[in-house]
Amino acid sequence: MKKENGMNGEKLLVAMGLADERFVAEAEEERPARVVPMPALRWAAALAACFTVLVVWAVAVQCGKGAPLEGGASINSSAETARAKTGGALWLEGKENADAAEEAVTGGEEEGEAMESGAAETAEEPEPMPTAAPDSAFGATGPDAGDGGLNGTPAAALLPAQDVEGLRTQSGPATEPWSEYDAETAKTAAKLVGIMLSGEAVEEPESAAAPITLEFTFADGTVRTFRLVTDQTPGEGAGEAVDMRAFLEDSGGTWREAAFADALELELLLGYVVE
Amino acid sequence: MEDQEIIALYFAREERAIAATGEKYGAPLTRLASRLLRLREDAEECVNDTYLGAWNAIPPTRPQKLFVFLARICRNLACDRLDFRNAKKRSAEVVALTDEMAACLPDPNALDALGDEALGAVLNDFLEKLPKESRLIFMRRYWFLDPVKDIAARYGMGESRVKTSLFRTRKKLLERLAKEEIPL
Repeated sequence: MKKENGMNGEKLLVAMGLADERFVAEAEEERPARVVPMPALRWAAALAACFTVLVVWAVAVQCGKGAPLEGGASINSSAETARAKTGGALWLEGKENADAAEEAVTGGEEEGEAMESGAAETAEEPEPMPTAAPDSAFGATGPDAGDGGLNGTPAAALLPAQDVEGLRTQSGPATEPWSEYDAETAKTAAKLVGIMLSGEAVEEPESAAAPITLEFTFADGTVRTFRLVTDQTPGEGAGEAVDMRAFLEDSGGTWREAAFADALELELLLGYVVE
Repeated sequence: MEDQEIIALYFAREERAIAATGEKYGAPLTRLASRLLRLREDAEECVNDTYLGAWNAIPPTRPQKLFVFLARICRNLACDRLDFRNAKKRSAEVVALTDEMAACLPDPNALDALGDEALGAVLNDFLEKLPKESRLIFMRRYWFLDPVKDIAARYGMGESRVKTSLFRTRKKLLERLAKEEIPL
């Protein structure tokens, strides 16, 4: 080793040659039990990630298609009863009904009037609604729709959530044309990402309607709020309304939030109301 | 050919020992020398000198690990040939290695007074106490002068992990050398 100018990096590097033979032999001979080249590891990781994404996507698609709106047919088929009993209902419209719905809205007996009403205070840009009688107001997508509708057809019974293109709600007495409105028959409903359901406390439930607010959040950030007013008169329908409140109370009385996949739960709830 | 057979040839003073050594260990020895010496001719000459050194040393020496024995000779010869004072003659890798080792020096003057034998003992004690993985990486980097990329590939780990291990080990060496008592 050179001795001038004190110790430096070069000398220390040379001095490493003084390391014991066993350390040199160890470094030369030792191999980890598993030596996988890093590029191969990265490729494997990338492939695994792709596979995972595909599997998750496939499962998500399968779950979405496999979630039938079981109560859809019963809702529609019993809509008349629903109106008579509770005055509140909600329909989820499938893609197959989009044209029919459009025709029903535009071809109604009367020109629609704005949806702005006490039952839809916060709805944005309300769609004009036909002021026809309840039956025609539901049009092709309502409970009395034809072949293209949801009524009792297998498609209606198995309407996948992602195929929902429109929502139709009815609040208040069915005989009042303003009580019925389209949430949005446009395709934005297909981008629904969440539903929030809440009940509003009423001081005198025996005499006042118990409104239930449905808030739909769309993928584009649009939030539309609707109030589903149940007929709270003692007697017919009262039992169902009480059960609905119980459902809400089970949720702590606060907003109940559901993913769109859970729309079935909401649908069942509403189905229970109209039944 | 097995190492013991080659050593037997050395003991028998058969020149085939040189050829057998070159056939088996020529490439790794050249690689080792090339990491210190920029010119390939210098590296090859260094390797040839290594064979000569082995021829002269065996017998009487009977190395347990022939490659380690040859590599030590080759490394020492390459270090002797390396002109550290002339930066233009050093490869970038050697510059990087010396800079990294310089970061381990707490007091250059004090360590210079330590002497080769004492410094070797300190280094061996330091290596002894290192975790195995850190020791392997450290030795591959500063004894075999392997690039970080090669070490990562050899042990199947990321380069960042190798760099982190080297950084920590250098820091430990700095602390170890700083604690070393300097003989008066």
